[in-house]
Amino acid sequence: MNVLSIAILTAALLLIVTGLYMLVRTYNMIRIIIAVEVAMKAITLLLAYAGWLNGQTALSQAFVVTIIVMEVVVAVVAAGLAISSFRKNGDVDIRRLNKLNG
Amino acid sequence: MSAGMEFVLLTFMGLPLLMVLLNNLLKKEIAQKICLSLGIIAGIVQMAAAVFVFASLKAAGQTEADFSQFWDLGVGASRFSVDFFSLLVLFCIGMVITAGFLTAGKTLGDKKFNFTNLAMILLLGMNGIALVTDLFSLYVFLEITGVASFVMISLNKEGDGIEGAFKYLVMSAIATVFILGGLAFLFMQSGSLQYGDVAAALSDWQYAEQPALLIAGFVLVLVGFSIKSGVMPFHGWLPDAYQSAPAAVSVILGGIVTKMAGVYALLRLTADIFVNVPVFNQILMLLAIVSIVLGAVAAITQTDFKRILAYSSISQIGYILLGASCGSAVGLIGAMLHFFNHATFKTTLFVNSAAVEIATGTTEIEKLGGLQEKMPVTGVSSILAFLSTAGIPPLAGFWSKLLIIIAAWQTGNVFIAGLALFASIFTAAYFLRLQRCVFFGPAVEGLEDTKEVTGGVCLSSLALSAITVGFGLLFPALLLFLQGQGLI
Amino acid sequence: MGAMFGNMAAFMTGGSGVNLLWLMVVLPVALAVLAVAIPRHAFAARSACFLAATLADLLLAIALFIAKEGSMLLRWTDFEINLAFRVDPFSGAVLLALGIFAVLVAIYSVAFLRRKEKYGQFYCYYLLTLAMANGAVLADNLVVLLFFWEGLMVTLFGMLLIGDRQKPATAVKALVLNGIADLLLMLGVAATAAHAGTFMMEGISQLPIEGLGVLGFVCMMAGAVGKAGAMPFHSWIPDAADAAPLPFMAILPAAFEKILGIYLLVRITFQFYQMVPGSVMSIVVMAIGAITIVLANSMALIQKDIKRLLSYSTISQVGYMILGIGTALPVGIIGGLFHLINHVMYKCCLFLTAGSVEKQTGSTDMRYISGLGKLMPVTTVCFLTAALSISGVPPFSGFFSKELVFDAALESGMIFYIAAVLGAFLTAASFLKLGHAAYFGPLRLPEGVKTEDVKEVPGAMLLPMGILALGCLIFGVFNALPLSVIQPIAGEGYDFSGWPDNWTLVAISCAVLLLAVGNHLFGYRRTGEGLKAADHIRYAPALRTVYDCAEKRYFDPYDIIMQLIKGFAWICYGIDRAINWVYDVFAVDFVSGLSSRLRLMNNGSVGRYMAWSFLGVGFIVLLCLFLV
Repeated sequence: MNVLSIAILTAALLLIVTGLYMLVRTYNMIRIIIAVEVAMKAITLLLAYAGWLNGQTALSQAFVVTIIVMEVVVAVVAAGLAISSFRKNGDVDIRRLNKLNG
Repeated sequence: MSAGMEFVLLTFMGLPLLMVLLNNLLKKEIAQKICLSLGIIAGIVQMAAAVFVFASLKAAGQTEADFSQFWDLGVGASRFSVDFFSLLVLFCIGMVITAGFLTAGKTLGDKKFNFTNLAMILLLGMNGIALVTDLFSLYVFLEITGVASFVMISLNKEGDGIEGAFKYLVMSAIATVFILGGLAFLFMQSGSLQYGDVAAALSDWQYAEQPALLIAGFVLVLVGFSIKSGVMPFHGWLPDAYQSAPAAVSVILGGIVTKMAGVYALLRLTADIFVNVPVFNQILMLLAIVSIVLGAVAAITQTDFKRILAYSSISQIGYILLGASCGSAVGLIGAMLHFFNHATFKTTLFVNSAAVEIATGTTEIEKLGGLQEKMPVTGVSSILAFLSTAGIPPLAGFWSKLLIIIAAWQTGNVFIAGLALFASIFTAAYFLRLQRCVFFGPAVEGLEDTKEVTGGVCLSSLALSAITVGFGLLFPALLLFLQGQGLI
Repeated sequence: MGAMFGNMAAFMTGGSGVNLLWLMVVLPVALAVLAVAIPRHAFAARSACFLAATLADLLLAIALFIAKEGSMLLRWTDFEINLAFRVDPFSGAVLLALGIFAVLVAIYSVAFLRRKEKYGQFYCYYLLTLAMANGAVLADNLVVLLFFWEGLMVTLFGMLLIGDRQKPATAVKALVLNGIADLLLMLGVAATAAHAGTFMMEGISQLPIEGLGVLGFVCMMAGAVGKAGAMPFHSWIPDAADAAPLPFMAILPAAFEKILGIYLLVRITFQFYQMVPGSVMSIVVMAIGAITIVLANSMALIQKDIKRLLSYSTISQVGYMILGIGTALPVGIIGGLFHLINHVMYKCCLFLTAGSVEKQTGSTDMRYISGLGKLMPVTTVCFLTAALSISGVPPFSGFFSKELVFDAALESGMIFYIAAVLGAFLTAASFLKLGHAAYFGPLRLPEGVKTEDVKEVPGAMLLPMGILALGCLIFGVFNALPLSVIQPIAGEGYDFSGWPDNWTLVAISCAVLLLAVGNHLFGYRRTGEGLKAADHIRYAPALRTVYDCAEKRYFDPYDIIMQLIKGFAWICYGIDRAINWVYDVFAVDFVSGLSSRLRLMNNGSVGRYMAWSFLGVGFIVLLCLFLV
């Protein structure tokens, strides 16, 4: 394992941890979306790295682009939900969304 | 293969697209009138196509067929393929979509148009999941399914649809992160993400350079798909999503979507990809048994009809995964059959909950009571569905549960088999409670003038109950057929 | 006449190729049915049918007695369970005895039951009992014996039900105690058959008492003595005395059951098994006899009702018979059997006199009646005869049979002899008390009964009494007559007729009698009443508590069994409640609690769901580290 690999893996780990930590700790729907995005970036980094290790750089590029498209779609839907929630409840606080319990 | 067969196979992917186009290209007023019919046609055609392909494959003596949508099949090209399990699943999808559209007639009002669009995209996504042969395409269709279902849940804006949709979305996003992470690690080991290649690369995973990465890959993929399927303890979103979706969406969601997105993928992983990784099966079995027991226990004190059904789904998904994780052919067949049975009886139950909601306006079981005289069809189909869930002979659920428990027994997991059997008591308990609170007992005030729902809802209830009973009675024939195939 | 009987005998025992031994069984049954079929108000017809049945039975018995040999066999199953009847000298004699007593008591009961209800049922059960008893005596196969034995139990139950339909407590008690004895008999039969390899009695002979034979012997013996009324199967007899009509007491506990029980006991100890004098089994049997003598006589001493006193006395006399047979000496066997015949005679007579008292005064409680001697002279004479005989006063029959039993007991062990002598003392004391209180002493009648009504009883009732009393005297003076029938049973060449040889024993017996008289006079002086003459024994320091307990029925085996069963039922109820609690309370609460706690996992916040997911991930990673 050379330095580059270690650096990439560390970066990925950092991103993931940041993303997931923020995901758990935030109360703001928008921030949740951002956190998911951050975590996804870590994933794309890992995929690119994996492709580089394998030599299948073209395939991994295709993967990464597709992933970016998919996560954009998901982010848009999530944003739409946040807007609907804002219209209904007045803010984007996720603690308001706890009527469905038990 | 013959051109006819190619054409039929292409309809799996092409028909939903066609329906979406039709829906949007026609004028708004016409579209409003016929959109639900489009959906029903799509579902029925899909069922017919599945049966047709099955018959053709049997006749030709093949067990699977590959095809592709837009390009020629060559080596290394991405392809679609059908085998018997996919065909069973496609049939289930068609059945549930039809039931969903039949229910949508009375419950959705002016959202029919949006609903049809979304449902067709959902159908596309699910068909894709059933047909692909590599993990990345699986991910793509998984996302398509997920996005469509988020939006469909949020159609219930007046209720808590937004809340349910958002929770589902967040958990799904986390699942995606995990799945892709796992895929990345697996990709590092094998050069491509096709099922066959990955399985080959994992055949000697213990001697790989960094087995830790591979293990991380397994774990992440397993966890990701577990979140998607609603296995305990990753199930948090499931009851909320089922409860808050509109009635027709609940039917489809509970009937097939969760199973496709999560369970089918896990089954493929167990059967095709991680065949040489016994630890995968062991962990899956543990998760499965926890789901079975705790899902059933948690359902006992619930107060909302759909929430009980949601926890019941968690429990039954546990059964399917239990069968798959045994690692034997019997277990896998039991899991597949339970997949089919669950599609039938859970859909029936959700259709009944839709009927109750239409008739009385609420799904809180404490506010309901004595609906048996007023809604006899709903009551009887509910009883049949619940008996099938609990595993009472001679209904269908009994046979698949039996196969699963036999498989667990045969592979040496006697305690787990016993526990799964014992959980049937809890299953019966919560369903009896549901049945007693909603249908039996004295009629509650304010509900005296409820009538039976007619039309599509009634029809789908009856049809699905008939399938449950018929399949149960015909099971021995099926068993003989499978034995003839050499599968048992 | 003799030729006629001889011909009939030949006819019955197979001379013409057709065996009619079964007639002994079938005839009474048929006539029983007929007796009940005749309408109720035709008293004369019914009674005539009844008497004719008993007379016919007697004639058949005489014929069989003369024939001395005969058998009948019908094959039933492969396991040697056949319908087999046999008559040999012993069973012939027993049949004759049964027949004679049946006729005598039948004559008595026709007069006794003249105006009572349910007399038809009584006739029916009476004849059925006779049929069953004949069958049991004639049986040559253990299973057939068992069948008729059980039949006796059924008819006993029926007879007791006549007395009190509403609260059949006595009948149930008799059924339970007899039932236990019969169960033991069944067990014994099974063990014996297994030991011998056959159910046919002719194949079971002189088995050694070891291994399975011990079980067989003990159980069969218990069954036999239980039927006869020895302890601990005795406690229903005094209760029955109150419940059932009096002729029933005269015939069943006093006569039939004794005869059958001792008959079977003799068969068991000398034909089926080989009881050796001085062996463990012999001592066991003698012990049962001795205990019965002492305890039952002690109870008899303190009774205040004529019938109950007679019942306890009956129980105690069985003890003599068992003691005699248990010695396994020829003297003992002959003595026991002679005592059997004598006892039946005088006990029957005593019960019949008590019946006369009851019929005329309406009560047999000695606290309310006394001094009937002047009013009912014939009854009193009969009573005196029987009482002297039972006490063992020469030259009545009881003296001779008791001497034989004393002789055998002394040879077997001093303790048995002492028990027998003590029994004699207590018997004499009880009958002194009874006679003094009921027949002598100042006249006293119950409320509402006038002196003029208390006359002597009708002739039909006097006749059997008289015959029996006369028999007590004749069998005593001319004791060669019965002994010549009994002696061959024990073997050839015994002759104990005439006066007993051992003068020491005679002297001791007479001394005991005088002691009893002295005791009675002492008591009489002390209390001034015949009835209370035994009170000084009753209220003696140590004996008083024992008597109190006995009167409160602490020693009643039936009550003890019932208490045990109640205790057992209470335990079962407790277990059932515990199981109910587990299912209804515990399981439900546990599952509901678990379910509610699980619901707390999903409290609506996404953060919590995510937390659970991450926990799951961590858990799976840990698992992987262990499993891989």
